[in-house]
Amino acid sequence: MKHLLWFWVCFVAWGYQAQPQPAKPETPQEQKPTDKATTDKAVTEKAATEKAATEKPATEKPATEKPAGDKAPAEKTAESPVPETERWVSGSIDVGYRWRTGPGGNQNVYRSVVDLGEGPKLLNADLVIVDPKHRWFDKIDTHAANWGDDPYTTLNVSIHKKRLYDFVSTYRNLAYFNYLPSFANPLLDRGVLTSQRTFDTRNRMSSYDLTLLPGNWLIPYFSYGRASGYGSGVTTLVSDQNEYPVPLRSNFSQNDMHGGLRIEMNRYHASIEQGGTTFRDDQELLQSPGSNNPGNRTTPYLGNTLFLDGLSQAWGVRGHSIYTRVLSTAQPSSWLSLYGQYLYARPQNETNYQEFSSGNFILQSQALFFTSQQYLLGSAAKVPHHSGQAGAEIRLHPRVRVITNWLTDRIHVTGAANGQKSLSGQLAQQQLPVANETELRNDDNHFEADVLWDVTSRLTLRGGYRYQWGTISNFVLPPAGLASQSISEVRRNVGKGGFSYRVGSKLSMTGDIEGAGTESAYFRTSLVRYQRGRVQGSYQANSQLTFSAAFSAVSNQNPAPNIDYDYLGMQTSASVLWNPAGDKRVGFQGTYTRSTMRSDINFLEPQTLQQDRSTYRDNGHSIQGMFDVTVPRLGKQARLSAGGSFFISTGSRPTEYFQPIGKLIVPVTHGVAWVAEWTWYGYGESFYMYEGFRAHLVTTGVRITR
Amino acid sequence: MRSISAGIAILVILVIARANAAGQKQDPPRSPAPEAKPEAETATAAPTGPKSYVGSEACQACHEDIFNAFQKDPHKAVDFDKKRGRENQACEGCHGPASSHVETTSAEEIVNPAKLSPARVDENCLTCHRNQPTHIGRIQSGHAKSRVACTSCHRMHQPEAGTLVARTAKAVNQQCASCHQTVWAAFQRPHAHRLPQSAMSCSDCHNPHGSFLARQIRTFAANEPGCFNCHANLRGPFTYEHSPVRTEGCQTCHEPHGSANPKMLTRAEVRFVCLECHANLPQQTSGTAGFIGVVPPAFHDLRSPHYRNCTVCHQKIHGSHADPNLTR
Repeated sequence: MKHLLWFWVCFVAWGYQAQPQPAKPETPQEQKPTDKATTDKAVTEKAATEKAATEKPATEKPATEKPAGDKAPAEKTAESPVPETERWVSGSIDVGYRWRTGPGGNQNVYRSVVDLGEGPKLLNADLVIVDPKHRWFDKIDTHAANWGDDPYTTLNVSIHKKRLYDFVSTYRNLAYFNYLPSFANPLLDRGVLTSQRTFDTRNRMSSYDLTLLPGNWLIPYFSYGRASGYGSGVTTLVSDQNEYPVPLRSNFSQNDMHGGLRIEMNRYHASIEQGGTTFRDDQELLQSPGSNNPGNRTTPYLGNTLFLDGLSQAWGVRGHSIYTRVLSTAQPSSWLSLYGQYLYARPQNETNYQEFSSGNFILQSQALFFTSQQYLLGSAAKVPHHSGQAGAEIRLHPRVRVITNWLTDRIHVTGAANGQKSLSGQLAQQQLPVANETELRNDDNHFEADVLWDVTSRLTLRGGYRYQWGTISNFVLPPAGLASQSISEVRRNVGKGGFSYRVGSKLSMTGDIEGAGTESAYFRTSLVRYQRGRVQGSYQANSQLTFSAAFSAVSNQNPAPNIDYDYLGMQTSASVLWNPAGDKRVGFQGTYTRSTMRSDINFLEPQTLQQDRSTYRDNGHSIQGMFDVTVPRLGKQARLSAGGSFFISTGSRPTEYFQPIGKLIVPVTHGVAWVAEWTWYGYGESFYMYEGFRAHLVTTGVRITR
Repeated sequence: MRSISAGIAILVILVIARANAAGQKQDPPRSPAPEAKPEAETATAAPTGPKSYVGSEACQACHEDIFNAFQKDPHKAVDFDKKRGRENQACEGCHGPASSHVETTSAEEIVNPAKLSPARVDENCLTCHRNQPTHIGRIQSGHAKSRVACTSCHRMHQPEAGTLVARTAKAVNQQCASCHQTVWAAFQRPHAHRLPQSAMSCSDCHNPHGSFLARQIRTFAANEPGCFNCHANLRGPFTYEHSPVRTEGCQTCHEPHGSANPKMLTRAEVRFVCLECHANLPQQTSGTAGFIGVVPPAFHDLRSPHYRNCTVCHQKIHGSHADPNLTR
């Protein structure tokens, strides 16, 4: 990736040095054209330039605001039909250095939530490279952000050549650091602030999509994507009556390749795609021989102290899949639109698992102590997955439409595992074979129909119905522990309604409501008797001021006596956008959101099977805003921005998270500006005071614009 | 099933009735119907004769700024579209025949898509864009049913680059957040996907046009949730599956936008995420009317902090290749 970045920098520099060439008035291709014209390019360009040469002087009459460059094309046309202001490279680059204080408080939680460090940074780069001679390409768009060992690094490059190809690529390098002392910490009541589920990994995702002959009626396309992750962490080795936190190393990668053909006729479309993925996942847990790990148990068991003094555990997963997609839309007549798709995938994996551990352990089922264990296992799983969808829009009347949709989704996972545990100790040796067959089968279907009625040109009402049905069965043979056999089904009737109301571009409101009665559901927390509603609106008072608001609510109940589930979640939001004088001098944007969540459900205490109640509350306030103002004293286009994001919640996990920000941009010379930014991160939890942190970050640099 | 059969029968009857209606032409309209008029219409000058097309250059006379900016718009290609007979009608392809408008200079004599109903706007755009893959699934998508017109997100005549199709993560997020404010507020919580940092965008997970999956979630490898595009190590298939991951998706346990709880979980403490489902006695799970999720064995004493975070032991909570209890 670094080589690619350096190549990109050199190419940009080369393009910057190139003399601007007279460019033809060809439209840069940001989006593939939808027409199927095969007009000769030279003829159309000549026609366009001739029109520009002959007609532009006549358009000077209207007294409209014109940018200073407008006269240049008119003058230019006397000598050449091509504007001379078009350049190879345009855009901006922000480079700088970031300093950080602290963080005060918990460094690990800071890294889990923010994870910004110090050092030189490529903060942002937005560049457009245009080849006036349209040789290998018409236009290259590049967007890069947060390079320089930041936790979220991105690069997007798209290259276009009209009617020949579109190439779009995306690259992300995201750090995933997670170390929260309050999470997965069975030793918390002893004052030990360590987590036994931590991760310090880097995940890289990239995708490359090539479309050939865009705008043609037959369009082949190819795509390659890769996701990979590597890093370390902490997890636990679990044995009877104890578990031992140990270091973890992981490395996975997935490659996805697919290609297909799109057939785009005037009123018909079909896509046929074939693809495949490969996958590998390697993990290992290691504890050096001779080191003593007492685990989480603090007392002896049956007079024996349990401990781990050596571990080598590794498992390797190798998998692949093939998949097929067939999609189609059609409009056979002006009143009927049809669409349908069939999707099939068949991923499968094979796993080799090895574990060698030594210490003092207990096989609880036989009250047998042993000092070493070897566990070898091979397993495999595959899942044929069929999905289909079809629907139609029927326009019975200019004001009435009926939309129908049918969907089916069928998953069938089968697996098998075979292996053996060999236990060795002072008293006995045991060979424990492992042989399991597993299956999970899930069929889900739904059918829905909606009627939309344009009562007036401003008001649309809609109503509809959806029926959902499905089954799930899951078993492990022979039955073991929690995994045995379970069967369930879902039968759900849903009524829907909604409206949308518009008065030109000034006022718009939409709302919808949905309610269901369910005869059966898969899980205790599934939607059973639920109602969901939402209303949102936007009012543009004038060209400078816009207000908007939104309200949503979800309510779900499962009244079964041993469940008594009652859930209610509501969110209310209001925002204002103010840009007087067309955002030239001052602007303000702010949003306030209030969210509440209440959940109560019965559950069973495992140790006594007594019924208890799980209660969850969350009451949150969120404010986001940004105020911009020009600072004429510092320069013609100097701007100061201030604002940020502020979140406070009370309830089951009271939390505060503040992110104020201030930014100053001061032009230094033509095309160069000094940029400075200050951000403060403040995080705190009332119930877990030791997880709080504070940090100031100051970034300063230059913005080069061309 | 009876209700479905009745619904299908009604639908077939309606289709047949519509098919028998006379006077419908096969070809879709070439442009918005000239009779479509803005709501507060007051005629200022009577047009002389029927409307006809005048060509894009006529628009330049009064709308020079828009015309100049439009030269860089991909829709400029419509001016050269001989195949569909729209040559030199890039402006009038959306705004309708402009002869009356040129005569009277009245705004009432030209179609303004900003004042059309969303259905008419969509019909206008889909005249050309109907045959693209973005249209698949769009009809039954939330945006279409809520009458969010194409022009709500794809703005034709804005001078800023990227407003026809938002390309950068920041631009996509700003656009979506302008309506989905409550969702954007969720991303301000401490444990969230990296959207405010512009490392990801809404369209990385959601297909704004429509999708096979609920909530317009993107798919990966044909029909799997788009989460596995990045979270490949959790995709499986696993020898020992954790059924809610397969059947109800990641949002069973996680708040995918943002949460105040670690790991974006739906509850502040892990044990409640698990025990709210794993609270059925074994015989309750085996019948067709049962819920899935058996109560843990009795040695899981919740009075001990040992057993208050299930994932200390059950690490492979998304599924395991090696252990039916998801501990390896």
